[in-house]
Amino acid sequence: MKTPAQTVEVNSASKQQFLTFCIGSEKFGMALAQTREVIEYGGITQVPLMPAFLTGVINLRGEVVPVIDLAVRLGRPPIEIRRRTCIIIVEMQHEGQQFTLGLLADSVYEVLEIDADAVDPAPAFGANLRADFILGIARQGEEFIVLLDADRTLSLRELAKLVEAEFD
Amino acid sequence: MRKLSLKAKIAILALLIGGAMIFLGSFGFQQLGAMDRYVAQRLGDVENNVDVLMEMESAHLKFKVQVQEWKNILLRGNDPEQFLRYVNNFTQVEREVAQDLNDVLTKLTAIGGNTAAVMALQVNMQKLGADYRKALESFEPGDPMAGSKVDQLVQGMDRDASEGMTTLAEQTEHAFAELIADVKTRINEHAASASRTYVMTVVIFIALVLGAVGFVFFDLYALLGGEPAYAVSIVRQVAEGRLDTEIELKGKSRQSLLQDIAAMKDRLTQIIGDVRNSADALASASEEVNTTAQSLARGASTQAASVEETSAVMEQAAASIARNNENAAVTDRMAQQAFQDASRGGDAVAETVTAMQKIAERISVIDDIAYQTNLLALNAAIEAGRAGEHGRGFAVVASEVRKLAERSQVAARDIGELATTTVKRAELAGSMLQQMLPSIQKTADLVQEIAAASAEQSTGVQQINSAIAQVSTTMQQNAAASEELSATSEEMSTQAISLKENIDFFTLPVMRDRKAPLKFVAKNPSKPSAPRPVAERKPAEKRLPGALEDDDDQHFVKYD
Amino acid sequence: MDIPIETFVTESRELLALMEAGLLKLEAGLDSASSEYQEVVNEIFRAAHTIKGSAGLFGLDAVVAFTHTVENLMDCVREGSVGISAELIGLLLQCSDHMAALVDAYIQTGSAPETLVKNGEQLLMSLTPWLPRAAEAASPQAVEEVSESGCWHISLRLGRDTLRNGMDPLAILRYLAGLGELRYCEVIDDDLPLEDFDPENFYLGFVVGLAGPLKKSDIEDAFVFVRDEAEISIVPPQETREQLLRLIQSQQGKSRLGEMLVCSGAITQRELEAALHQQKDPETLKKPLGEILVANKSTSEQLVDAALARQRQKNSARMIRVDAERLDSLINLIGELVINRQRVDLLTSGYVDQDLQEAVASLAGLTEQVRDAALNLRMVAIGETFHRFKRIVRDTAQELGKDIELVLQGEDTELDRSMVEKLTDPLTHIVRNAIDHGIESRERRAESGKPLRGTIKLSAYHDAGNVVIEIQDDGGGINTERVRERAIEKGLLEAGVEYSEHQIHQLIFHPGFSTAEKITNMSGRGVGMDVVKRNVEDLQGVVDIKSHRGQGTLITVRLPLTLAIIDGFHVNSAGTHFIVPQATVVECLDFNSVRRLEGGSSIQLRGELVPYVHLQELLELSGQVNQQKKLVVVQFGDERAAVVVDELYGELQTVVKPLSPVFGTLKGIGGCSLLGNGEIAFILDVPQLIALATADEVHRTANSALMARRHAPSDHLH
Repeated sequence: MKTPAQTVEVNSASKQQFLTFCIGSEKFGMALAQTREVIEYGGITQVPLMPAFLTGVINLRGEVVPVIDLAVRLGRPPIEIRRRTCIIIVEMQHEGQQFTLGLLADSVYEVLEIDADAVDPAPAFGANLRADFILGIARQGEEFIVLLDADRTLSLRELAKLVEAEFD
Repeated sequence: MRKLSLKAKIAILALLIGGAMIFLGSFGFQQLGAMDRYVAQRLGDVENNVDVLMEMESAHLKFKVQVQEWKNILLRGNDPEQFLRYVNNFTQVEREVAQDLNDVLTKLTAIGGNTAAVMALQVNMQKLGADYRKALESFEPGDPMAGSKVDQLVQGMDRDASEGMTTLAEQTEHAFAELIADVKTRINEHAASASRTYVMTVVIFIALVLGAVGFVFFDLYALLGGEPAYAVSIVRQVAEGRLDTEIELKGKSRQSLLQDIAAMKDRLTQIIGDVRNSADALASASEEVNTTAQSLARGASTQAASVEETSAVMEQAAASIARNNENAAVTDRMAQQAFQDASRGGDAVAETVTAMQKIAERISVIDDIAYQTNLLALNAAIEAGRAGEHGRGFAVVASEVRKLAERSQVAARDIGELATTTVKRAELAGSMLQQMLPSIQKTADLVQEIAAASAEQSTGVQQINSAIAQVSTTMQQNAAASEELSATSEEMSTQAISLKENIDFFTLPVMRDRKAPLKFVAKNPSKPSAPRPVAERKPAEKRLPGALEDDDDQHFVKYD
Repeated sequence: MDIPIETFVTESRELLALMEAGLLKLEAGLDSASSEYQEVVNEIFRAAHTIKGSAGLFGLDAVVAFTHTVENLMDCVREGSVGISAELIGLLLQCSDHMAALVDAYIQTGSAPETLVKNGEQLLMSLTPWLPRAAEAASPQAVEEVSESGCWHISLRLGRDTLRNGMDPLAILRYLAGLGELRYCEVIDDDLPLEDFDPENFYLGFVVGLAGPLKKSDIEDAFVFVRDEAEISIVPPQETREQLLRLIQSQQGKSRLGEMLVCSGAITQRELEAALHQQKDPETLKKPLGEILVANKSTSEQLVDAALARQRQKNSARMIRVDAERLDSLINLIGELVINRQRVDLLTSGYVDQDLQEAVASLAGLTEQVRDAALNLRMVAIGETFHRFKRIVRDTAQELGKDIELVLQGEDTELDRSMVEKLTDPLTHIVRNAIDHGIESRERRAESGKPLRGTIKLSAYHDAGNVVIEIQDDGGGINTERVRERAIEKGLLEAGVEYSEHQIHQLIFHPGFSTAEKITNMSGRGVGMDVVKRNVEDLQGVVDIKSHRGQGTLITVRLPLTLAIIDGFHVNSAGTHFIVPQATVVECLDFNSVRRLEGGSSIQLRGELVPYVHLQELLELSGQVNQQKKLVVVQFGDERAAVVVDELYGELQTVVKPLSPVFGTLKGIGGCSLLGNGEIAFILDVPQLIALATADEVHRTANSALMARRHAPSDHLH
């Protein structure tokens, strides 16, 4: 068994590893600590009566993992399924419970070690994204990588609420 | 008659004799029978007449009785008892006389005699009777002289009757005696004629038989032509081979055994003579044949040798043609091969293109794999990252793997490009090959023609070869045949000699105008073999006709 | 360190539980003269004794020291020199708690914290009134004649009539000398009478030391003629004792103490028979065999203890402790096995090979058996949980000054381990509630004419694939009015609207709800029942409450029998696979061949009106549909309903995979499962589904009459 993932805060003076991926033309990053693996897209079963952001569930080596369209979650148009589309499997903690999620992404880049210095705080506006989703903006040469806050973006409570909302 | 065999003739003869005897016998029998019947007949007549006679005699007697009785009556009639008795007796006897006269009549009628007298008698009798009775009426029993009275009354009445009776009786006796004499005469005559006939017949038949026997005998004799014993002895002589015996012939124009024997002897002589000649001729012929055969054989082997040479030469020719053929075939194959290679080249190009496409596919697979490897490396990096310090080494490995994956992708791309280039080149090669094809084809065709011609030559040579071979075979067969022939002629020679030996059994008479004996000179086999004209042979003595032959015939020349 | 001490921990916990149970039994009242009393007391004593011994092995001195006193006390009780009283029992209970605490402390920290030790000492002090004066621990110790090493120590006291019987003691001694090396031979002449000396009597005793490779029976045989009237004690030499110890410890086969000892050579058959005979003697009153043997000097206490330990070991070898995680992983693996087996089934269904089919079929059977066995491994009798409540009830009742009896029923009812763990808290809460709010005080009860002693009945039983746990109290019941008022206050209910009693009772499960006037330690915080409900629902169960004012309350918890693997009916609706739990399926029909009622969505099934719902519509599925629809009739509780699907595949058994918490509130689907081909099928939660259908219909038809009619059956659902 793996040791439970621990949430990390960016603003500690150390390097941190992030998994970078791409949605549309934007580059995002998520703390490596919470990512488990990356798999290709395939074998998604739709779950009835689910909101749009919940694409469905997949069978990940015997575990039934829900897959979320990250684009929709981030308020963008849904991801088109192409060859390079992948699912990023993340493990989250919530109230002592561990749960696994799959995130749809257009493509995945690499594992980057990002210096805390290279990260700017989230802008007040303009990122076209909910502010609380953003951990920070990392600069990599010419590019900017939006580092997402997994706990907020994938807050179980919120997600569950959204799901529940469908039933009302 | 000639056609019949002796057996048949004798059989006929026998039959004849037999038949004659039977005939004679039966004829005799028959004659006897006839005689017998005749005699019986006559006797019958006699008998009948005897009966008449007897009856007449009886009647006559009884008339006398009757008269007696009348007398009795007249004499003793005075006694009524006696009268009655004598009357009865008279009546009785009268009746008896009448009866007898009836009987005579009857019998006479039966035999067809003259009955008039009888009948007249009968009437007389009746009259008498009636007259007496009438007279009797005047009989007085009591009168001693009644008798005499009546007597007187009847005087002369009985004369008719009595005379008649007596006459008739005498007539009858006389007739009878005549009859007897007649019969006797007749019988004798008959017998005499019968015996005459019989004798004549016998004589005829004997003559016939004798004639037949004589005929057969003569025939036989004629057939034999002489005495059988003579014939036998002649035959014996002939059988002993003494054909020189003279045969005496009874100069008959008909063919007889002896004649035939003579003829046979002559013919035998002739034949033997011929055979002897033939045997000689045969012997010499076989010699010649032998020689010829040998020379043939020699010739054949010479021929065979030359045929062999020819054959060898032909073999060489065939061999060289075959070589040509092979070369042509090889060339042909090579041309075909070239053609096929060229077309395969074309196929190969197509295959190359397909292969390249497959490569392209594989490349995309590799690309996929590289991508997935990339992903894996990524996941590995994630894991490494999570492992923190412990994972650093692993992270390095992971990034290496990623690099490798990238390199794979790059390599895959390169391969892809290479594949494309190769495709182009292959296509170019393909088109060039295509252009080559027609000329190759032409070459191939030409070569094929050469090959065909060569083949034909080869076939021709083969045929020649086989013909030669056949000749050779024939030669050999000939040689063999001549060998055989030689052997056979030897055989023949031997046979001829043995034949001659057999022939010598016969002694021939002196020859007359017959063919000259044919003799053959036994040649020396070592002499040259070419057939020679007959003239080259040694002339030899001619055999004198009629001279006794001698066994040594070697010096006689052969005649055709 | 780990394994043995774990064993020790679990063992000691067991023993402590035993102790506690025993003490509780005593408290419930046992006639001290009864054999049962003695048994219980003995049990308690032995528990303490063993704990002490084991603790000693591991060097848990504090435990040893503490337990020693307890053991002494129990020994006195056992002997009868100390009488049991409620006070004592209470103290002893505290002691057992303390011992547990000590053990825990040792496990956690490796030593006993000061405070704890101090507590212990205090406790011990409170025990002193009962402890005997003698400083020495009164636990009987057989006089162990420690023989010199290497030598059998034989003490021989021949009977008076030995000589008369024609026996020559010297001959015996000589025989003994022949058996081995005679180390020493002393005469004991303490029995010589000074008067009445009969020269024909034999008054002497001998102490002989015999060395050599001998068996006890060999030596005993020497005395075959005299032993009827002789007192013979044969003590094996040290090494032999150790040998015997080892022998006993490795005893196989024999499970009775006497047999074990005889087999290992510690005692002879004769000694055993003598002891057994003595046991039957009413005077000794069923003393344990071991004690008798020790008293008879047939063997040493050490050996007896060793034999007893071995016996326990062997008995407990019938039970194995299994690491829960291992069990879980095993069950997971078996779950995978089940799935894989189904895959194999699928793949081989096309082959006509008879042998193959047979093998696959037998594989299916075996897999099922394995699955069942594995699931059984997880099954635990709820009795354990229930028993815990005894203490709770006692303590709580005492605290609140109420007289409550806990009746347990269906303790053998088994349910899944995981469930048991998760049930403990909810059940505890419910029980506490019952004690707190349910059962009235004695006075109140007397007023109502109820027996002074209140009863809380915990019962468990199986019902159609479920485990039903009922907590019934004969208390005062729920004050519906009060609840209603409170609910209106909190805005949960509308004033003026008629609600059924049941509906009002349901509000108890609402978070933050409590009618209690004061918040006690145990309840009243209002965080109880909703948590209970959630916990139960987490276990895929339902909780219901029935109450009658003045009579009592019944809380029913209904749980599925097993979580892990279910038997279900595989169906498909619009391309999505579903599994209907087998336990709920009544029958399957062809949709077009049943009589449908006009103007509604019900079918007539054997005289009964069964409502149906199109799964595709209900769950808004988009996919290929079948014209030939099928109908699955399901049952929940007393109600029946029907679900219209597109395809019926058949029965299958599959592993239930819990849905992600993301789907926490997903209605109608209670888990998912992996099919043989890897696809995901959703397991229908029938009650929820029907609720959904109902809600749907409510949406569609605003007909209030329909609402009222529909609400009636749905009461049972919440």
